[in-house]
Amino acid sequence: METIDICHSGLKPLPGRKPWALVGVVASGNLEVLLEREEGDRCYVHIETSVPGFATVWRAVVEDFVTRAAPGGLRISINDCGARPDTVSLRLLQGARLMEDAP
Amino acid sequence: MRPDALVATSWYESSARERLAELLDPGSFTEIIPPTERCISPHLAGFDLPSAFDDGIVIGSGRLEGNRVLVAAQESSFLGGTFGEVHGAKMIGLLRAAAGSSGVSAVLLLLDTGGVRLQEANAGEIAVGQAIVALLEARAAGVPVLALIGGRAGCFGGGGLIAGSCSAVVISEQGRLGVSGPEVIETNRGVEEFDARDRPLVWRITGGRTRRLLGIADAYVEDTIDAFRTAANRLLADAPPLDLPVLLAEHETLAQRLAIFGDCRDAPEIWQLLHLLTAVQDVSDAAFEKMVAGLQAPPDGPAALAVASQPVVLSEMLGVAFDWRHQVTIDTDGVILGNAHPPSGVPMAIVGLAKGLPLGAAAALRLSAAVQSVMQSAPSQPILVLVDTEGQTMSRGEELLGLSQAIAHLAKTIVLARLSGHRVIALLYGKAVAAAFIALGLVAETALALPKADPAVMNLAAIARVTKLPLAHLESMSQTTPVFAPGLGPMLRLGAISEIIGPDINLATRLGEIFATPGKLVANVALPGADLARRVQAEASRE
Repeated sequence: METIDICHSGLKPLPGRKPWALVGVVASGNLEVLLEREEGDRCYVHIETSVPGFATVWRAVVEDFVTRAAPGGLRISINDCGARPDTVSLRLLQGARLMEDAP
Repeated sequence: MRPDALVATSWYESSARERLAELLDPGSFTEIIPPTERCISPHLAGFDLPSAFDDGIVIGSGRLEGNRVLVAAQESSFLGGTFGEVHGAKMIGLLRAAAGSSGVSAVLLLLDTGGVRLQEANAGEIAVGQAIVALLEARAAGVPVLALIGGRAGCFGGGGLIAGSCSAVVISEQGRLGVSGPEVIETNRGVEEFDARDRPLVWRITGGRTRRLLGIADAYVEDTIDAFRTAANRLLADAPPLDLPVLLAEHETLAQRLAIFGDCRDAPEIWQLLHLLTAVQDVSDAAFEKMVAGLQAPPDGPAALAVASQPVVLSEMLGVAFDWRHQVTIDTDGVILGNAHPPSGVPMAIVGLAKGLPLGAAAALRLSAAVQSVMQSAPSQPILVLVDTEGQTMSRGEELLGLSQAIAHLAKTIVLARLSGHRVIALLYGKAVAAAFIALGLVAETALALPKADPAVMNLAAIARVTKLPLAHLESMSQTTPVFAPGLGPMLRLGAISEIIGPDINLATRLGEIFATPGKLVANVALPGADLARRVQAEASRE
């Protein structure tokens, strides 16, 4: 297992008022993403992955997500079981979209 | 309204959360211990496995056609929907809340599980036993509990026993139900007994249609969440209570099934005995339902053959001092029946399984009948359950006929005896493995053990094979973490066994003391997950 922490700050707040959302499941080639709203303009991402050695790819995927979704005021926790970068990207966007729903 | 409202949602393809969202009245679901609490398994990190924020089970309350229900849904994508410490505690707490709080009209269990999680096998095994007890207490309190089965993992191992303990079972064609899964049988008995890669065979033996034809499932539905909801509502309307007459009738049904179909090894032999002319797998869901509705009664089976039995002397069989007068016999299946008479006071009924023999349906029914007869003839008589068994029988024929239901029948009988005022205590004196350990040992009030007892869910070598972890690593972990290591020590530390009776103690005298002590032998044993189960129970009891 490897743990990776990434933080982006100075972001526009994510619209919507839903306090939390969960997408995906912890299964081979998949991951679960828990998004929770918090104070401030940061997007904090905590990753626990069963496949060590891909921190650079994780940073790139999260950076891409931050530019596309403007997820300020979010704490994101990920349990990963070897998902591919495109799956990760899809889940992050799916989660951010769910957070924009009504609570 | 969903954009795809015209397309029915598949139960099989949906996740646990998706099933709940669509099964319950829209927006009515409130989760208990949601993922934001990060209530994860404390044991998986030691195996270098990722955790899930809900430990693979979603629990909470909601409404079904306006009535308040408690629900638990297993997520089979995460470690096969298996029972670990946290996973089990969530289900146990929910079921306990159903028994104790007013305003709960039913419990729905969306079972999708391979059984006990090997990485925390002992905790999972204990949890299944506790869940069965809590489930039956809910039923005895008048709250029906339904099993809904149609997911990817099916419903096996301890999950099969839990399904068999429910008021009714709803299943789809994709649903599979049993105790030993095909892979487990193939590993233990060889490919000639059960070829787990032969998918049509797997479905003929364990699949939804076979389960419905034999009456192991009470409703057969097409693979949509809508269909499951409709069937659940229908079955809740007249769910059977849990009492002795219901168990006696079930015993009769199971005994008849064994007499009629006992020699069958594959589903077509059953179709023939049921006078079905079309192959069951070839018809549509609707045509299959008509087929079930029009079933003719099969011919009566032969009367059960008498099984040879012989008397035994307990001190010789157990290898410890036992000085009460007793009449006990063992038959060729290893079934122990009899009673023992203390110098004063009421006699004690004795049942059990000996010689390390496996527990099959016939033996489970004979043991159930003995306990049921004690319940009818000797109210509040204490019952001692002797346990030396290698586990459930692993065979295709037994699975075909629904061994999970027969073993669940035994577990139900033992729990109902307890609820009716009998003290039921298990004594482990040899092997105690898997489903047989649950039904004979873990649903009793407590288990005692002789020093030579060797309880296990699975041996370390097999766990190493399944988890792909080096045996040396598991051996070193078993020194520090009792949740998965086999043997007496870990089970004692986890509270599943309350006492080891040493060689210098007269067993009969000690049993006399235990049975004379009112109340529970182990008042405050902290079983794995006990605190979490209490918290879930408190939260689910609100409203």
